[in-house]
Amino acid sequence: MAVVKYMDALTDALREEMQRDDRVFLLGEDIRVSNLGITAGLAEEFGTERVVDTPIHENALVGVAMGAALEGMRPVVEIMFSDFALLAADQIVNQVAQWRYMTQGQYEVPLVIRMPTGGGFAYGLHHSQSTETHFFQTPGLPIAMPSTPADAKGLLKTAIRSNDPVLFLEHMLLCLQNAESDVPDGDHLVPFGEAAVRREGSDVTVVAFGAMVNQALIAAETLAEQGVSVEVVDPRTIVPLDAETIFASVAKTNRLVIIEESRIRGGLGAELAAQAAAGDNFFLLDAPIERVAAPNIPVPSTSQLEQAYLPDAGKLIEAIHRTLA
Amino acid sequence: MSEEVLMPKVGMSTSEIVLNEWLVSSGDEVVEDQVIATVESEKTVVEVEAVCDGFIDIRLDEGEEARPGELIAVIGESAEAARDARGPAPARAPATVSTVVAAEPVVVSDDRVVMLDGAPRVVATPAAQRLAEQHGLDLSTVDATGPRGRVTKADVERAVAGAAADPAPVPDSLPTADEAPEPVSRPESRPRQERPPAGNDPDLQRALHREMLRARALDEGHMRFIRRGRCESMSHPATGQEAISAGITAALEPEDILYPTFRGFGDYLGRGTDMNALVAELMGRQTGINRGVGGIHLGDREHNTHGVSGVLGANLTMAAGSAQAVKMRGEARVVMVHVGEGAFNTPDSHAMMNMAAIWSLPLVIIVANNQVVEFSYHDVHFPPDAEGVGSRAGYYGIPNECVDGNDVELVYGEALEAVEAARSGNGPVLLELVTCRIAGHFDADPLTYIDDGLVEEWKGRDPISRYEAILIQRGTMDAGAVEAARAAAREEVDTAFKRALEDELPSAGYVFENLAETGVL
Repeated sequence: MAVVKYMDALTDALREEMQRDDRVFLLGEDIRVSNLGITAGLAEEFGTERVVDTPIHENALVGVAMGAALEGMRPVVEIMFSDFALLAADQIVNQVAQWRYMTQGQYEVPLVIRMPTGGGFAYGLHHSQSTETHFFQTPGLPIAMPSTPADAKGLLKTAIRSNDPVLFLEHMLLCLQNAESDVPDGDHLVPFGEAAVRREGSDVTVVAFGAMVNQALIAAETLAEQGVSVEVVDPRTIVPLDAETIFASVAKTNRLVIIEESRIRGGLGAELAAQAAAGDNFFLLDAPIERVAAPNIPVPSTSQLEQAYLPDAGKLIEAIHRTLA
Repeated sequence: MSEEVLMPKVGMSTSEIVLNEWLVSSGDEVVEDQVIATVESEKTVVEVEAVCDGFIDIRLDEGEEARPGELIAVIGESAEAARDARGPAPARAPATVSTVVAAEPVVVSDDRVVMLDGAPRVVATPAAQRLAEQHGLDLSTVDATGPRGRVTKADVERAVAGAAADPAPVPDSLPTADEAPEPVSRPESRPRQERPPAGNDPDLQRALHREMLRARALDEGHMRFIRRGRCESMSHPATGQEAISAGITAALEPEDILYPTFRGFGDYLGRGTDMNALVAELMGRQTGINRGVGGIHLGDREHNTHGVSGVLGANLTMAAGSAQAVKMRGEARVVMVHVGEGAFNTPDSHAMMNMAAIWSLPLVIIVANNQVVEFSYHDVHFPPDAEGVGSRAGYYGIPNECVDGNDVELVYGEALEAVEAARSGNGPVLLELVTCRIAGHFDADPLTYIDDGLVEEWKGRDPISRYEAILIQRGTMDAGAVEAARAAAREEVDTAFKRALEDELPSAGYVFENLAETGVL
């Protein structure tokens, strides 16, 4: 066990998988210099044939990676900001995610699309969004959103070894705040579809992922001082979604709050609220469900305004109080 | 023995289609493929053909409507047999969008609602209701501590001893993990056999002719079975363009990779895709090459024909990516991508050429310039003073040629040169092949938007009859051999469609099978 920064954990995962399997190669815009630094130094280590800088054209570079994956390579594409993934929506949604089904298993698409995501830097409308929700409905597209260095490494290594495409969202705040924590030594793999209970509690279940896990833990700590016991469940991958662990927690607490950085309309919170209202899950609830998410407006640029937009521990505490009222 | 004549699917219409006119009367003798009626939907008129020889009994009057797949006539061995044939239950074509209807009327169950006769309603949370019900507990006897007087689960727990845990839902399936990396294959570049020009090779000439015939026969058969109401996949015929598929596929080695055009199926046939599996796919059968799921969006891994996207132009960058993989592995393979000039107008064409040139990829770009883009003529899509389409490659430093796409030996020769250039490591090559689509964009498109004169002119340049004249003149084939080749192609296609008809359609539940194997979560 070693203390590792979130960003370094990502770099380690890429390096280890490139060492392990020479089918793995990276491509993206300016990944040799690397905007955040995640891929910096890898070109020197593995050569520019396996760390490929591309012209600016997201749809094309995902298409190129798709073609390489169809030929048995294991490309890892970087989209510089998750906002730009919408430029590649055709390749991601129509081609990458659905090719294996279309050809009934003749082809696998072992392709990872990494994208730094999220706000908190006053970068404004087009460099701050959490775009996972846009892709959430796509069939055939697992979506991983690590919240810790250990998961950043373990989920990325699992993604690269998967025979299916993976959309992998790395939160920029977790990268740039130098968040660090223990990462298990050796070949650390984290399976998809297995939620982690980040903090046990008995009064309310908070589902949080990505950068919102830290906000949930801050809220839980604050509320513990007020005698409220919060359980924090981090699904780690929102597709596939470990509903079993989430609703096992709700069965215990009978209260459900979902916090996500993406906009509230049609997000994971909406999906979980619908699942909670359906079938046997309905009878687990003792109180209305609360959702904490960004409002359905563009991301404002100024810090003060952005903070008003972004969900955080304070807004979560208010929601938890409402569900306990 | 009688055969049903079904209302065909007209384009994308799934609603009622009007029977315009019967060209025969009940009791008349008809022969297979004879046009017996016209039907109309949304101003598109489609001809209906007899599905077999025999005597017809009309079951739907002129001016009446029916949905695609419904019975409009019966053809029997005699007029009596046709008349007496029981009208089978109208067989709805699978194309018909079926509305899901609940088997039973939805009854609002009141067993969850806690109502006490004559007493005020007890408000309890869902969890409390469930727990009380499990314990047969009267909620009105429970002290409520929840907000606004709600009975909570904890209240019920206090009222009874113990609580049962609820089963949780099953999680989504997990993606399959790649257990261990397979070693990357790095085949040596191997010397290729010298290929003689097509003009010196009678076997190759006959093969080029045969592949053009098979491609046309398949388009015609596909449209025939659509008109017969027996096939719901769309046809995008390549009528008049068959020299391109035949020529370019003949220039490829089996290990080379092709991203084919969506127009026609000559690319697949030329690569060796099995006719029966291809036709079964078009007919939506489980025996199809994509098990009836892909339809016209086909891939054939066995023949390195990686498939075509329904989003035209999406294959362009994939081809560059496959070429990148081939190059990284040091393989001697070439990747070819075949698009029309319409798809070549998508922005990804520029990104693809840019990257292919920067990375010097072993890529051959085939642009079939057929002068028509979907439902409009060339001039809607290209400026009048533009010089060609493929010449855009010049900006990227990509060698490009523009030749007659209706001369199959020329296409083959140019494609072979392009493939060899790409294989030699000199980077991408583009070949623009000028042709004309002398059929509609799809099966129900009457091609009203281009001059009849253009169609007539290009019918005169039909690549098949033009080549046949050359082959006869050279003595490679005589007229009898040409006719035999035509009949063989028709027979092969007809047999494949009739065989597919015998195969079962997938059951509805089939769509949910194999999801783990097909990567769907």
